[in-house]
Amino acid sequence: MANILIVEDEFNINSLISKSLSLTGHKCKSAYDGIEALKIVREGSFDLVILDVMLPGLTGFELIEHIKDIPVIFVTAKAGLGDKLKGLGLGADDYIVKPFEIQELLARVTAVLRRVKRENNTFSFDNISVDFDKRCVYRDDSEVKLTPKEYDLLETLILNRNIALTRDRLLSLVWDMDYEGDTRTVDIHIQQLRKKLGIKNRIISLYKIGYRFEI
Amino acid sequence: MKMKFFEKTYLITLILFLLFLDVSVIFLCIFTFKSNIRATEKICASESFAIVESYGNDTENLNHESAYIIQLSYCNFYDDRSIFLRFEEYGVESFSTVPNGLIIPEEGHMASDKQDGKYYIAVTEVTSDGRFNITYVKDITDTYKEFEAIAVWTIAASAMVSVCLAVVLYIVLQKIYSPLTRLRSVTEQMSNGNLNARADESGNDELSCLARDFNGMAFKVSEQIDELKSVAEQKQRMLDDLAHEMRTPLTVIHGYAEYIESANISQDEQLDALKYIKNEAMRLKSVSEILLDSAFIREGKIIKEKVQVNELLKATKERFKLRAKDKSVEIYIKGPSDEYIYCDLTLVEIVLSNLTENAINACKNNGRVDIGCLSDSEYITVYVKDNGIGMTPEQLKHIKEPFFRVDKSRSRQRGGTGLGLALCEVIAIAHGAVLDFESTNGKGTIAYIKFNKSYNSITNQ
Repeated sequence: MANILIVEDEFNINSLISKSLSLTGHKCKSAYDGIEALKIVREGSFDLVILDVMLPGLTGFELIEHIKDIPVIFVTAKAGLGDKLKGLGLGADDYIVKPFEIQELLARVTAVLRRVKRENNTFSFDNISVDFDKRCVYRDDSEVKLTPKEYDLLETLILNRNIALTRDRLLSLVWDMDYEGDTRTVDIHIQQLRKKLGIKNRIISLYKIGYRFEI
Repeated sequence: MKMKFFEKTYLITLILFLLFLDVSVIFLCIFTFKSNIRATEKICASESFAIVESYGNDTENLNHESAYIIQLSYCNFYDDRSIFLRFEEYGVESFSTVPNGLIIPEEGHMASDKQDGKYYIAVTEVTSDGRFNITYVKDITDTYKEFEAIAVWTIAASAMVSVCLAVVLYIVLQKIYSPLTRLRSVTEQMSNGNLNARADESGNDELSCLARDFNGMAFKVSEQIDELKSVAEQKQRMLDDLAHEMRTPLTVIHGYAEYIESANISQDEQLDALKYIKNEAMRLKSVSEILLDSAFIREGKIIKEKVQVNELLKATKERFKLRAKDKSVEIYIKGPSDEYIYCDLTLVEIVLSNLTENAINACKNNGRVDIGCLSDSEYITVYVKDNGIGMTPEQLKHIKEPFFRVDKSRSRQRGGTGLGLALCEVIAIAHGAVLDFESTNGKGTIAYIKFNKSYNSITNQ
């Protein structure tokens, strides 16, 4: 999907972010200090940089000045409003405070990528193709009629592919936070998706957890 | 309404003064008036006596008609001087210029009377031969008028004096009270929270003493408040750092737990993730243990014993033998072998271990660490010296702060908490010792703990 550079001096967190983003199909490269990161940014071409603020060598705030035309998401323990405003003021596209949840990070990465990357906004697997701009789904080149909620559910599953989502999480992502619905609603929509698209083997039921879209 | 002290003093002084002034003025007036009247009466008495005497001489051996003629001339003569006469011959009135209706006193007596707004004094005397009774009446209205004028003038003057007094008294009191007023405004400022307000101390009277005492008190109070503030700030900073420091392990623990739960990963990857989680949990555990230890040590819960410094150094060297060998670092023990200190052995071992570990970590390969002790009359100094990478002055300034790390990523990879030297300082302070560092960037660092000899003996006898 996208080329992402992760600049984070904390080895554990760097590998956590890298592993999680790889799951959803991104290609990741890790840098552990500011100077190393600057070198890598200048050499390679990246679609997104995930940047810590407190780094040895160059701080994230200094580094972002040298990063042109690449979207940046700050991931930092600096939770103060002043730091947040400074980060966003320097041109960052988002600002995530540690400790964060992986799914939140993925959602924000997806949002930033979608905002800046206009071309190639489709996703294909097996005989299915999804056009995110038109909100259309094709099976063997013929359009499949999905209800709006079914489409939202499919999109959420694709964006969080290879990651298990609980029924409650799906409820809050697809329906809205305040939706007081039964988790059975999720099951019914999943069954509909499987039936309409014939992707029973892709949407896996996980005992006691929920569903995972595997690819 | 509450009256101010100044107003009270002013009003009471003014009222008392005016009261005494007016009472004395009134007494003075009355006394003057009385003595004037008495003088007039004396004059009247002597005049009347002179008239009677000379009339008695003039009319000696004269018959009734001649005496009558002389009466006329007397009356004419005295009429111009506001004196009226009345003559009686053998008890019968022969001639009178006295206004009608006035009291005629009996012979040998004096009387005063008032008629038509005029005041009179009357005296009746008998000639020496007893033939004539002469009544002398004098108009003394002028004396009264004079007195009234004086009274009016006195009252006006006393009123003027009163006004002047009120003004002068006000100004003088204001001047006397001004230090008190200023002091009061200062206390007011202080009670409103401006602890830097100070009173004017000039002068030598009680108020200046009060101002000096007050300033002394204010200084003490603001000093203590500053101290409390800085302690609170330090605590807050420590808390902020702690919260910040907890975020990384929490992110790792939560993130990997989520990862294991939701991703379709191999068992190897799962084990890796679990290892990360365990490491971070251990780090959190050691942070909490150190914080708890520091709290105990701060409360002074330490048990001191006599420890031979040389033994301590040997034990430290022994403990780091393997670590030193791994990095090809040599450890040397320096200094006299018979010095001892009173300390909590476990805690001082922690300090030495921390310092030695830092020293070994700072060394490049084939480095050298000296641990030793120096003694003079006042202090026993235990030091750890390395020839490693050293620190910049900026780093040196911060190394004792909790969670400060000279090399953040390497320290964390080794499982460091960033609390080592902060704990060492707490331990040093609990022993009445000083922990300090000297360092040259690129050349090495000396860490030393100065134990005070007198403190040692006093607290252990």
